[in-house]
Amino acid sequence: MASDPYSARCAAALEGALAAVPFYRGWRALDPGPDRPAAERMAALPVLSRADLRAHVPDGFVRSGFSARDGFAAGEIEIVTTSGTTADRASVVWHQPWWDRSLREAARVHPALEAVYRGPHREAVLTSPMCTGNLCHVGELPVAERTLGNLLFLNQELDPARWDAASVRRMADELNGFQPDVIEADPAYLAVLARACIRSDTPLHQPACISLTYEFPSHLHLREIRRAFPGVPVVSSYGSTETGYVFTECEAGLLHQNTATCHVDIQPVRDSRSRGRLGRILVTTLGNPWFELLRFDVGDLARLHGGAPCRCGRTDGLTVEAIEGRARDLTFDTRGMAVTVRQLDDAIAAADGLLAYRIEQSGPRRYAVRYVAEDGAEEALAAALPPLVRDLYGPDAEVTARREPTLAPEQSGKFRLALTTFEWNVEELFA
Amino acid sequence: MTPAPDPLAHTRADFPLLERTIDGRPIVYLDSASTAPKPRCVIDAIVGMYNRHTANVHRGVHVLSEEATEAFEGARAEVASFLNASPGEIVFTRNSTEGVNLVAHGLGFAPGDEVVLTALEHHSNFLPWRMAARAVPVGLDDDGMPPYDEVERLFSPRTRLLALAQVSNTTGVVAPVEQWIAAAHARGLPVLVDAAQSASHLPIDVRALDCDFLVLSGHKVLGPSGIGVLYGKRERLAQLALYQTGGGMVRHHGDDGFEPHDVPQRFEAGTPNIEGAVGLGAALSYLRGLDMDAVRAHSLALGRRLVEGLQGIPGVRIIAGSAPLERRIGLATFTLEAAGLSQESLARVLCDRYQIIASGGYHCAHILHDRMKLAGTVRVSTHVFNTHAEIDFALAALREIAAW
Repeated sequence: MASDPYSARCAAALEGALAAVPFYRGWRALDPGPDRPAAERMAALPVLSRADLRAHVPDGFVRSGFSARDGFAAGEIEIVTTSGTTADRASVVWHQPWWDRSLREAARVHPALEAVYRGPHREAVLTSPMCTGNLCHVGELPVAERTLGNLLFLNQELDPARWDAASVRRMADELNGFQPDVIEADPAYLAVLARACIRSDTPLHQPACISLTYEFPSHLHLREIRRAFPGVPVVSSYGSTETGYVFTECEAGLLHQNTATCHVDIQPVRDSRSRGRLGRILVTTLGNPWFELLRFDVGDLARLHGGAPCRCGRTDGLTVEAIEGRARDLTFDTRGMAVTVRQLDDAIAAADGLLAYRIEQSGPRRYAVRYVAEDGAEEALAAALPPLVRDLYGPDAEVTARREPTLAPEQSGKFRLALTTFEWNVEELFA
Repeated sequence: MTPAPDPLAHTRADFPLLERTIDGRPIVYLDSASTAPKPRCVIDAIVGMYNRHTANVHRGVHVLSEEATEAFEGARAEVASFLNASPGEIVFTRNSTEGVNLVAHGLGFAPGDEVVLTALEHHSNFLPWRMAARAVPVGLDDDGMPPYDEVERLFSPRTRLLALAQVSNTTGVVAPVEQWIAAAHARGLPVLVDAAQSASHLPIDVRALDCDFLVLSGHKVLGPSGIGVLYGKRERLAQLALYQTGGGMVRHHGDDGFEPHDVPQRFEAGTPNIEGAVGLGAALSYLRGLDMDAVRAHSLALGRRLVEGLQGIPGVRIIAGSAPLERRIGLATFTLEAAGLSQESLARVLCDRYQIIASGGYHCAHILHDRMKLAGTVRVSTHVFNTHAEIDFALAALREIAAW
């Protein structure tokens, strides 16, 4: 049934996983069979969750013929733990060569990234130490111990609000000394560093490009980063520890799927709960026999591109207009329609003087916006934010706004832009 | 393994936390050395204080304040009974750490004064001495055990105190506290005993021990966090310099100075953690109700099962694995050499795949890990509610992981 090499690889991955990966034994009865198109077969299968990973790593997802024991012994694979918060965390089987390939292939979407990753390069990483696994129990490590080959890990602090002037200076100096070709950063962290350097007139090394990943990039972050790195291409990358790199932003601003190491299904949110091509990202890994995932729910949402083909000319795989944020960070307007983090960010992040924010929804019509303001912008924001929130959620929304000196990240080091304080079931959103 | 009796298994119903599930499966809580679940009587005691007796202690003249004071001082008496001390020898602190700091600060060390301890001590019983004096540790052998017998070789004219954990939070081995106390007292030196781990596993009698100071933390003995105890012989406490000043610790304050209360109130400046103290009292009462000899026997049996089981798993190295089984509590710290798996990842996998709650890391014992060149360890620790079946489940999980 597969008509092109990518479809053939997807079909083979599906066939192979159902036939030879222990965890999927229970799924085989649900498969409509090899005479049906791969997409139809995929859609008939359940969604793979992190709870499944927790219960069955490592042996559950290793293809028969491969032994996790031998893989560990040979140094082919290791167990790493993801950085999500509490229920989102899982241990996964890490196969470095496959990860490297995923990175290289995803980078091909954007010329600036491709230029860096196709050859030897230096890379600085700026994110929560929970994401890079270099959280140190005995304080900050010296730069030599944070430099692994071509990689420099800049940060060991769980909250960038705790960086003092010396920390900022130290990171700027290390960047200037290391001269990375690329900075791979959590946008929230890089925005704080960028702003601090601009305010203190600290020179910052200008890399060939910046790759933003780890969490949703707010307009607030992008504004600060572009000010500190004028002219440097800033590229959004999307992926996860479990799935490798999945989507990369092209020069035209759309995100394209990495067809070399994954297949993606976007499971649509029901029309009654959202507007337009919104769905959750389900990833099937390709070419990694140590950790074969079928329809893995990363926990994030994307909006499919629905217009003309992308100006970049790329046609393989899915094209998405945007990553819309985490499903669990959805809020709901007063009519019960889902509001994604991206929609929220589009609505309020442009407010003058806004440095950080978080929306907390406590009822069908009750919203509290906590915000951090630039000096002098406090009163203007107090007046401006509630109408912006009402425009988004509905004229009958009850909105309160409260200024905060800082907003803290979650235990994972990531910043949550929206949350509900009541329970709801994410599965109800999907058909 | 043969089935073993669990005479305290009935206590499981007292702990609401044990009803918790992760990914739909019940948890196996083996991390009480870090912090212990709370029995319902402790939770009820705390909630009861908030619901019915909220008031400040020692200063009000109304009914609620009298009730709160009675509950607070009743908790002090309960702690005293638990330790075979008198209530006047019990100072409420935030935790063991604060108790040690209070003594280290209060003894007024001169430059060059020395405190003898072991390299195995928890940070809380090491760093305060290091800050206040010169810490002189007994070393560690290759197995991670201090040569306790060598303590007298470390005495010098500058030695001012001995500090020792009754049970190490890392090895789970019961230290020869009596021997250290005898050696110290022969030279007129006081001894501080860190009972943070031991108090949940051994009967403690400060009169019989004849220790000068003893500290424990509420959260490890089934009580709430943020409350601890410093026991001190009354004359020893009276010699300590004031630690903090403020309300509650002063008998009279005038233009010409102030007069502090007697011990223990002189060390309890400010409004105390009333609910915490009451919760701690309830926790210790609960433990006494189980009979601490029975608790000791249960801990010993679980420790034996755990260590013997670990010894049979390929790739496992137990810290202080050579220590006699009869000197252990239900705690073992170990590494499992499995390619591709760090010790922290191992602890994570135990939780993710088996719902076993255990510690991974350094357990506030960096010196031990540095000297043994260990990049972290896993610690399994029990309490009264744990069963042999849970130990067997954890061992089976480790055997399975070792076979990956």
